[in-house]
Amino acid sequence: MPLVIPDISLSIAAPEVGLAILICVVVIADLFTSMENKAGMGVLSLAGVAILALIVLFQWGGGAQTTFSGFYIADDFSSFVKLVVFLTTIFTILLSLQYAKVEKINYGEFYVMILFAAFGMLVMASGNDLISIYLGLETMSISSYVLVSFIRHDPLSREAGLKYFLMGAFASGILLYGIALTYGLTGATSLTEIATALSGPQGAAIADDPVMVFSMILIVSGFGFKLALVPFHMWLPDAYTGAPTSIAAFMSVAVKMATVAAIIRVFFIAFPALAGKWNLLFWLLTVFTMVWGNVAAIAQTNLKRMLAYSSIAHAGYIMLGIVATTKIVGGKVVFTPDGLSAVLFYLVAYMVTNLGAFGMLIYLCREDFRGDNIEDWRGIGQDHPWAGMAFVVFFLSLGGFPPTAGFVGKLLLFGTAIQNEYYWLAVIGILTSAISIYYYFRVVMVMYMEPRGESQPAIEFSKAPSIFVALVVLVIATIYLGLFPGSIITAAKSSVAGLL
Amino acid sequence: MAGLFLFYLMAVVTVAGAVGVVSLPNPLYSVLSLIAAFLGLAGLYLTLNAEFIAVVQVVIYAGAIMVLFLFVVMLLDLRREERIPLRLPVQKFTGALIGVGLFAVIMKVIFSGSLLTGAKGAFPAERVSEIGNTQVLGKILLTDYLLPFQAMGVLLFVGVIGAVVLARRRAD
Repeated sequence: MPLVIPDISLSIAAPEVGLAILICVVVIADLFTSMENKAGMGVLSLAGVAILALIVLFQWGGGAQTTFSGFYIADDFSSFVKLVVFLTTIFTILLSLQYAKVEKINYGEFYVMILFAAFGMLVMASGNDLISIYLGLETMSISSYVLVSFIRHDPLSREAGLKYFLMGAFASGILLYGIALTYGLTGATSLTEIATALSGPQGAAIADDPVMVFSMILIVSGFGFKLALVPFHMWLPDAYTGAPTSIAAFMSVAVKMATVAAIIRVFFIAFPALAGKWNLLFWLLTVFTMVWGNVAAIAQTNLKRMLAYSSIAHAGYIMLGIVATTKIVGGKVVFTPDGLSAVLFYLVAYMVTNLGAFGMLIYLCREDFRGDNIEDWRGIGQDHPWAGMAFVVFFLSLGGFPPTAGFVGKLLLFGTAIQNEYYWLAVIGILTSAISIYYYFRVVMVMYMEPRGESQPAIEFSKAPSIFVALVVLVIATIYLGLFPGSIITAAKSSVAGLL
Repeated sequence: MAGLFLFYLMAVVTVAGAVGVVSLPNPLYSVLSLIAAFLGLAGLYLTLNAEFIAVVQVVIYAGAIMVLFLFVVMLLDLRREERIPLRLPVQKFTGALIGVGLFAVIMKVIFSGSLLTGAKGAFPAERVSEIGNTQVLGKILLTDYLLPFQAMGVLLFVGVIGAVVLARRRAD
């Protein structure tokens, strides 16, 4: 067997290569940094990620390029996802710089693990093969397990990490089993080769084989676990509540973004032949997720837990867009890119909003007072009008009110659903968002209507400039995207145009 | 036929070993049971004509890693673990019921599919034994599968750093 070196271009994979180098630099620099200066590692990671984000921007519009023997693809879709991941990483680090000191988790490895998770997400976004997507997913998940249990002196955080780890390992096993069965039937793990096998002469027989349907169900469940769709959501509320708040924010946005990217690639590129079947499955999961996420959030008294359930509900809205992409015209499946571009816009809107909402919790948090219960926010609206207003903006956007980013996102999603005749889905979506208004505005009511109790500690927001800057940028971005969503929508449209 | 018999034998050994790991009360027995599971897995690799991976499985997992596990268990001086009663005793029963049900479904599906058999992919067993097991693996890993190979390296790096982070003593 002669040794044929395939054509490998590192410049196409520049974001991943650069991030791997950055990780090594931070790991080594961490050895020479004293305990007091660990925030410097955060600043170093921040600068590195900002440069990598610029590299991704330069790659934008370059068309689809594959390398590493077809394992890796760089196109506008992957660039879009990578930009969202990098922006989330930047905001997470900004929110963590001082918060890590408050929680006494100020180690260099904290930032290294965030970068590792981002690396896994990039590999997922550019994965053109089930193997590389799985490896990216696993890198992302293992770093998240460690990040969730990072507050080691807090039993809640340890418990969260263990639960997340057990459920996540189980989900990975299910996903792998699905991948193995798919390989057994099609003889391929590459997404394009699976699609070729399914559309070839034997394709119809393979697509109808019960094993193929079963392996597709396994893959759906595996991704469903990672995205926390109901009924695979059990780990999420505990994991987010126990995790450091900035990590909960990071996971709720970046992990969702990467998993959705992988779902879009796997199902729309590898399994269009089974679209009727997986679309029905996703339809069911979407309805369960939207309903249960919103209903369960009503009963929460802990803000972090409420935001966790709200993030489950938002995963449901995102899936609604993916379901609505598939349109069945006269027994034939047609994919309309509007659904996917709505999903991408919604994820950007959700990024600025949810990072902001979790960021407000970090803003209030200090060493002797975590401030993550709803009643801890009593009277803040009257005493600190600006902070109160910022939180109201984020809640408006989460609930989907104009003029915020969340409104435009939901408008696009429900609009596509109605256009492609998913009326029930749109109705359930709108009704459940109406439910969500109740629990978001309960917090607003507590902030403005209830006076601060005698025994409650005085409000003292964090004085760190990094948190303040991040929150100001996020508030402005939330309103800006609500008023002028055009540029992001155009970018989202052009990034999915080459995909379907 | 002999191959099929060997497959079932090894599969039973692997599953029994795995069940032993989670159900035996003494951690030492769990570790020993894990060796049985690893050996069964190595046997499964052999029935798939993957001799190199089978040997690596025995040398690294059943050998090196298990010794490490045993050392840790003995150094930690673990007692018989205390069993905390389940809050809902029906959990065990429903869990077992769902597990058995899922197993039955999987069995039915696997045996009803007709297309799963036969060699697939670019490297069926005959081709691999023609070139040589180790040679194929080495060349493939460093050419076509370079990206997964490198990503695996990053994944192991995450594991190492993550383990250190979670296991070390607090600085203060």
